[in-house]
Amino acid sequence: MKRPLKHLLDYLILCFLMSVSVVLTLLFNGNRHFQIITIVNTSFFYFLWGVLHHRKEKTLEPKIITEYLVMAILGTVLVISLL
Amino acid sequence: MAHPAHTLFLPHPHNNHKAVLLWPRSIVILIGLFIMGRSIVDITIGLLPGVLGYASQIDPGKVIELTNAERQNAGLGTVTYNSALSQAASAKATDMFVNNYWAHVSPQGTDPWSFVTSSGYQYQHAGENLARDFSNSRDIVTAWMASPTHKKNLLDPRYKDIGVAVLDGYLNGVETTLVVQMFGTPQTSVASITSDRIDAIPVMASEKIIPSSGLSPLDLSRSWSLAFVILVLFALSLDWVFVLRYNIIRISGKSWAHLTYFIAIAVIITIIKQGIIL
Repeated sequence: MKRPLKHLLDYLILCFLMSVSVVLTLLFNGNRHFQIITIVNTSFFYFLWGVLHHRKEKTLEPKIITEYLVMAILGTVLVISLL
Repeated sequence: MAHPAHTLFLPHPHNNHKAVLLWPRSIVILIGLFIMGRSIVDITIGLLPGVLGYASQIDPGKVIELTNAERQNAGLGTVTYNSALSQAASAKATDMFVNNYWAHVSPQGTDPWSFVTSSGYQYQHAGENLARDFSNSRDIVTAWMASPTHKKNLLDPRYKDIGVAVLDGYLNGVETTLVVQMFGTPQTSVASITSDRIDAIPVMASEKIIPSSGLSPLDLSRSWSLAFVILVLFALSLDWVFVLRYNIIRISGKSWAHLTYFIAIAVIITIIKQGIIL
């Protein structure tokens, strides 16, 4: 029972982070500079979340770090190109 | 031998139980393709001005009406349409297109008040709000009201007159619509001429671009980004379903985490608004 609960907590933290990012983007719709800061931080925290989550699960591998890193870079590039 | 489409989108023994599209090296290729696509759009804009662009239908009368509605909501008197101020606003917009700039003061150092004076309006106080890339009047006034400096200008109780110009043209080779709003208080016999210069900072504003002529580069960019997000979301969803269904054990990041991140990215891409005020 412990494992699913751990996952749930991690997932809730991730959902919270992503929701905050969406809200901040909406709030900063008048400010390109802050929107860039928001998306860069969102991607960074996502990457950090991935690393910490897998470290906690004892499944952290360089391959996984690379995967989260490239996903975060792709997300950042897709948004920043619009700003 | 697995079909390439299977290995591209579905976990399979031939792709180490992970869709090829989700491999880090594939994501790097996707980033490269995305940047290449964007570069083609940007180069097209630079080489063929006018191929991409948009022009919107904004009614100056509606801008004035909405401005007065905001002033009335704030308990202020309304401002009256003044043809000289409208002429000044029109001259300012024309100057921005001719000299290819987007600022209160032109690269040659011409300030907004020169246009007001040239139009024959002798002012005691004057103010200017600018907007571009909007498609309707309401969003412009909403954006101005959301910016403290523009709001201060719009709700300045000293202003008695208003002039608004809406002009379509090309800035940096891209078709756009400029909106210039000029406020003024006529000079009285005893008052000296002073100008009220509003130091407005550039602010992105809420806007949905609706192209009415040609392709909007902004919408094209948004669609390009969304296409990549949808592709990744599609692959991640399939991956997640297959991993759950067949209980696949592998060394990999969490598909549901990637999905959450890219859903947020999709929402952000959708809600990012265009339209700039100055």
